[in-house]
Amino acid sequence: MNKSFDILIIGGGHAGSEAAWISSQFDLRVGLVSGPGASLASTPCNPAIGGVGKGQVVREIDALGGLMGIVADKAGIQYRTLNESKGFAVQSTRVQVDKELYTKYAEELLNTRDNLEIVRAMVKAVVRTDGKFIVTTEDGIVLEASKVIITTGTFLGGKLHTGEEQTAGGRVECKESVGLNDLFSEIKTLPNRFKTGTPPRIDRKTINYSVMDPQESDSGTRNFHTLNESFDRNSKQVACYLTRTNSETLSIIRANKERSPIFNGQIKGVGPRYCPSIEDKAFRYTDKDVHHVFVEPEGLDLETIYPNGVSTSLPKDVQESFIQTISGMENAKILVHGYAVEYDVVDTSQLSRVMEYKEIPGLFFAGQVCGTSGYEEAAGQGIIAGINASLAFLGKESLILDRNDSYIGVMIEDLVSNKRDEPYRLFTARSENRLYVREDNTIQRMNKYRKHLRLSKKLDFFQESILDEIEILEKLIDSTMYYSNIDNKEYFLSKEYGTLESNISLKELLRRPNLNPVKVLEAESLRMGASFHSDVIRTVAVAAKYEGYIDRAVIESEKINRMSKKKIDWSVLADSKNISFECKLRIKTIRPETFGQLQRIEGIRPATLAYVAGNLV
Amino acid sequence: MNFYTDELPIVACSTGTTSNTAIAVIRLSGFKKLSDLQKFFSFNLDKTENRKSHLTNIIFNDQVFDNGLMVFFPEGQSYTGENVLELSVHGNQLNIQRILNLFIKEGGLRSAHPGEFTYRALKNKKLSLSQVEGLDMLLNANSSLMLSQGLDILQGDLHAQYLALYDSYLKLKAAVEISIDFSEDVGVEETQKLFQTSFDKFFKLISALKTRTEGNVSALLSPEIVLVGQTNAGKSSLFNILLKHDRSIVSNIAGTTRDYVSEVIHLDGTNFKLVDTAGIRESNDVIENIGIDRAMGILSRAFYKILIVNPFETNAEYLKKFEDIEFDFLVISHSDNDDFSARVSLVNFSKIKTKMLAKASFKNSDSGSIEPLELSGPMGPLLMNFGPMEGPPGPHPNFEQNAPIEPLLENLGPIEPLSKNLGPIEPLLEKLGPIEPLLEKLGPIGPNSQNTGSIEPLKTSGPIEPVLKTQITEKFNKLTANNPILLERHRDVINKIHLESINFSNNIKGIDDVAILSSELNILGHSLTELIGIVSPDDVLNSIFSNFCIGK
Repeated sequence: MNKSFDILIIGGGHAGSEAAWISSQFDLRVGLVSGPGASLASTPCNPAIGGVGKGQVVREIDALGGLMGIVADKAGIQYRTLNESKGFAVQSTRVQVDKELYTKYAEELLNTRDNLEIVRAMVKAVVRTDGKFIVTTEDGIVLEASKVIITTGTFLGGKLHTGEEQTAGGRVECKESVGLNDLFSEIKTLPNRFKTGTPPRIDRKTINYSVMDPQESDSGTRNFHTLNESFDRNSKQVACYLTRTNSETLSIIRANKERSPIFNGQIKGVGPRYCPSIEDKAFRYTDKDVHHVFVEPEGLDLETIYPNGVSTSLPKDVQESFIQTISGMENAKILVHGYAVEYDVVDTSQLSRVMEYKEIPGLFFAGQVCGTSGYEEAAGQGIIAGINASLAFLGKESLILDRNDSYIGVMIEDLVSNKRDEPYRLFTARSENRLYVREDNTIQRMNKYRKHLRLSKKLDFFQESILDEIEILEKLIDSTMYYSNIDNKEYFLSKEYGTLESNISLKELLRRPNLNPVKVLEAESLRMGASFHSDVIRTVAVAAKYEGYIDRAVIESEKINRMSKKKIDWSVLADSKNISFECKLRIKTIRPETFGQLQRIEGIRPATLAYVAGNLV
Repeated sequence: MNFYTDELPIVACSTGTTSNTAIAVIRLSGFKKLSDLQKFFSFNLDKTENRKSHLTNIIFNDQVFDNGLMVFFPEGQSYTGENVLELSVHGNQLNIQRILNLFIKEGGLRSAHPGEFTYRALKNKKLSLSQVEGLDMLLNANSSLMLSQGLDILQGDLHAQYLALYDSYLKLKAAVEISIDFSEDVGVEETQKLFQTSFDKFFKLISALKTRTEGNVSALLSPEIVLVGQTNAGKSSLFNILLKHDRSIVSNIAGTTRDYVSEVIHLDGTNFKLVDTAGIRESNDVIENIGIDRAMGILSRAFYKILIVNPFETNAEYLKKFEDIEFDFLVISHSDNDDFSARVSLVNFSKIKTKMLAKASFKNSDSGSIEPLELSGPMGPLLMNFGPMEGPPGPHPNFEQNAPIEPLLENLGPIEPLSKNLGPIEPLLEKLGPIEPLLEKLGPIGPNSQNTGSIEPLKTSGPIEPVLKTQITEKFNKLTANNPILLERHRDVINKIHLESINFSNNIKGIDDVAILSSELNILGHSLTELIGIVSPDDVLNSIFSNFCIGK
């Protein structure tokens, strides 16, 4: 049986699902290959979508017409706004999801696309012939496509570890994928394998919640998908709980160092420093025994809870004994043991900013196979790879997101301009323009891209009306004046706005320190009898508050980095003897286009920078 | 930055092109192969050993141009990183020019632009940007201080201190980012503590660097000793006495205006420019304002200021002009005259500020003589402030109200304004405790700090020259005791960072938005990268290379 596609996606995780969803909006024939019986857009680790920096990505995906926000809202069972006390720019949404519902809704949505076919098969071989890729599956199906997106997650050379037990595979109870080995012999992978891990799952009936701190769902956190009513929930909301490890927990782990695959040499892969296993915590922070453990339900009807903070690859008996030392888990029963997975990672410095492998046109990569961690990072790459594979097929100009106006742009530029030495996760700290790249102004930032590509047209009306309202309200806060008269003075005092020494505009009022600009603008627009969407009020209030700081930051960084946008003419410089051998190697593989990109490459010497700076176009 | 665009081989004389010397070194850099130059040498270049000297004739078409030594440094092992040939030739300027022309006309080499050898060294990673700055200082040093600092920079010592500062900044930045990106892992209290201690540490480092930028750098780079006084006061006599024993190393300084006389004297490892404002005309009857203004200009940048007053011919109006100047030494001349004391008491010195006072006679034109002097009358209270000239001063009724020094004190001691302006830093410093020992270790806080202390009294009588020279050297040593940073670019950036640190700590007062705090911190970080020289705006390179002379 032969099937022909325009775009073929291999792997049905978050990157693959997102790529398939967005590609299908281009009116192309799209195929998505996923293992038989494997759940699509599965959440095999922490059952949560969003988080600091990641919540921004989910909203960016949603505003572009992507899948993740819609599914997360349908399956969301606990909402939180992280960093609520730390400033609007770094506030992020995180939603606990029911993992069964998540994959169910994702599959349902993908099935609504008539031009998207989900092929349930294991890939046996991928061959390239004149501009096309021929994919054969184990059951003999031949799939043909001119653009292929590889989104195989941890399945590339994946190996699972639980104590001394080792099995091949990318995930528990899933086969490893070997069919890509031929293709991957042509692909450069990183010399070091990566490693990630997951905690044991615990029977929720065996947990004593009464000794833990409950964390209820926050009804004031906005849904991800903007066409949903902001605060209406699709699923029942439940609480998560916080408990902690203690010295007994850690001493059990420390006593079993020799049996830990991470520390006895069995695992050679590099794990993420920002998401350490409990073994890492035990041996790297020897003076600390108390670590947070968040007890998170995996689903409304699921028996398992996810103890966030104790991912481990220790032997099963050790897992059982240390888990039972944790307060509230004295009788805990483990249903699925924790494990670590080691896997191969594509050298993303070989990719262009559209996620295409530079030396093999038509071949795209996205997701964890690119060395990122996190569902959101995977989906963010998936949507960009999907869009650009489609645009490439149509012969249209590609879409590159600017790192100054999106976290997706930050991530992709970081990925392609560097060889990674540990799994990559988005942090807000990675963005130079953090005060601007916020959750509250996502529509402002992303509308132009979506509109240009005509994606998800049903978003048109909503996004346009939000932008119109923003424009009107921005004018209003500029033109609304509070004159320094007795009435206003008294009004200011009564509202605790501070004193009114001279006439000020509403905008100036919003900028006053120690005032919550959103609350003030809500009250003042109500007082004026104006009715604005609550998202609009929020966006305008926060923008007013940050405006001066953003301007300052932009001026400063432009002043200093005015060179960073200048283009480098490598045809002249590439062979220069003035650039050291190591620097040349890095430059040749990464091919930075601008001085700014060159600067961000690790290991580029100041002398090379100085030399290139002197020869900018 | 486009000044050296081609990669042609270059040639220049590296030992100066102004006077004849025994030996001159001509340097050629960037030629492809040594054998290309065979036509210019009698020595068989195939036999050249790298980095060894060979005797050769410099020839062309059977004509011998000179006889000298050549050393070949191959690509990668030379100053510029390119093939370099150094020729030691006879140092007659005509000879040098003839040889240079030979290579330019017949060898296809180009005359090197100023600083081009060093530029190529930078380009080829033989030197870093700050090493170039260090080299510039080393080559242009006119004091042993500059020599050592140039060498320090060239060897990367100063840069290492900047890197330490940058490192502490990164820790500070990390403390902020942790509280945002890992808010669920690390508690609020913990991050606040981390932030506070990181900032304290950072501020301590930048403050320590800042103290090394205080004071007048031009006074350190080319220290001037300036003599002012009316005609016949004895300026020229003193000038000649000070010069007397340094004749051998005195040279004319090119380019100075001719309305004053200046010579260089060498004291304790440092070149001082001795300026006699004699050329600036003044008259006893009418003050010629232009002349005075010019003297004032010279005084304002002077390192050591000497006022000479002849009590027999003193114009009160003239003295009044100097009320705002703080002199290092006030010499009252003609002390050998009989009615000297009487005449002195007639002059109103009450508004003149000086750190030392003495009477002098220039009768012995070789060495003069100097003696302690105590003034009574209106000058009294002033003197007391400067410490006793000889013996303890008598109590004075006006002592408490006495003014001239007071305002001085407030303006000067850099520590004072620091703690006053800081606001939020204050508790920080208190908590730190060790700020005191830190400063102590660095020596005097600023060049001006000695003004706040008492003045060493002049105790002995004797020849003028050794006394004055000791005073000058001591002052210079005090100024340099805190190892001041001499590079203007570094000083500017350090002061900018220090100011921005203070602004930062003021700006974040009452701000609970961590994102804003981090953004403000980024702005601070931009200046730090300027100091490190990682991002070097074009003009930094431009200014560095424009300061170079040919052949370096």
